[in-house]
Amino acid sequence: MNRKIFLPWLVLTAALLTVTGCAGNRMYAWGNYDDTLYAHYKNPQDHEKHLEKLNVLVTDAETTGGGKVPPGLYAEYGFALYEAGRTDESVIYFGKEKEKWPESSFVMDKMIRNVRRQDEIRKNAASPEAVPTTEAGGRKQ
Amino acid sequence: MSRQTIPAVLSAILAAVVATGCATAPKKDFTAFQSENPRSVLVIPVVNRSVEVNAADYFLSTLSIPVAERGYYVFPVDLVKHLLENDGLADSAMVHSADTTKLCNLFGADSVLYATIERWDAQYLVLTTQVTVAFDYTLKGCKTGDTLWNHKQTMVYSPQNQGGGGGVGALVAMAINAAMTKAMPNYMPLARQANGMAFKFPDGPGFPAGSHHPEHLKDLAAAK
Repeated sequence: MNRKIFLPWLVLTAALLTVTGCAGNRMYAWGNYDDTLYAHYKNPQDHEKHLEKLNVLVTDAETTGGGKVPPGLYAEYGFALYEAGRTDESVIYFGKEKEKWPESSFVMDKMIRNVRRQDEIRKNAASPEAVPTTEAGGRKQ
Repeated sequence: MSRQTIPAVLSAILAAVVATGCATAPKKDFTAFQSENPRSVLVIPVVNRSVEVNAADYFLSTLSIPVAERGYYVFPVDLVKHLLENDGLADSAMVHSADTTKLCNLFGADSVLYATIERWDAQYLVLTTQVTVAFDYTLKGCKTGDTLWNHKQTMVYSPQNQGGGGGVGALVAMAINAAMTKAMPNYMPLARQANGMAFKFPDGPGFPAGSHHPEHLKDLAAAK
């Protein structure tokens, strides 16, 4: 490459670096969080794949990402687990979100209560003899 | 184009890129923003005024990162979307017209980000295709329901036509390039760029650093 061509390329590279440089370094280990959500909205039926991708994002953020788990990630994973019927695990991740981000505690408590309530309903539906017949007396375990 | 003019043209491009990439926007009034001092942002489903039906969800997927990177807790957008649907707010226009404080109370949020897609289209012009996204972002505070911040951002992309040699061959190459862009316009990088510009601060119109950001309170003081 001769000088005359080299110089413009240098200028162009500098321009590109300036543009990307504006984005700066990230505070959190996002991985491809946005691409994962995008793919989920593109193929909403593919729950299993979405769940697996979120699992990888969480694991990567906790390990190679140095624990810089971004806001919302634990909760998003917990929600995908809940949708897959893995309620016990979902509660764990709602709890992790709450612990890492106190701003989320109100809605995470709500999620945990909802999951537990639905677990109860499902349990009762599965064994109807356990459900008391009278409403007035309240439920007995 | 002669050899001598190439560096001049490139310098002009560089200047234009730097100008658009890092332009200093007119200063916004952050008085209301400061007095509410939100720690968290509830990003609600996007209202879509474009003809591309899936654009709302696609755009929603780009919003968490730029807002969280400004130092705010961002509620998980997909979980939020589902909870709102369960509450009978499946239509984003309904969510946007709902009472702000009611939305806040559902999630325990400090502020709500309302995003609207004004444009998300690819227009075929003579031998080129222009891809355009345009967004309106509004942040409302949960204490008052008032608007704390508003910004409109447009991004346009046209494929670069580096035709080999000129003449008919170059025209054909341009036509193919334009047709390909029209057939499969890639909006996502444009949407991310728009967000990047919209939320940048202090060298942009964006949010002052939130409580999780090392520049919290410092950047706003320095910008005065």
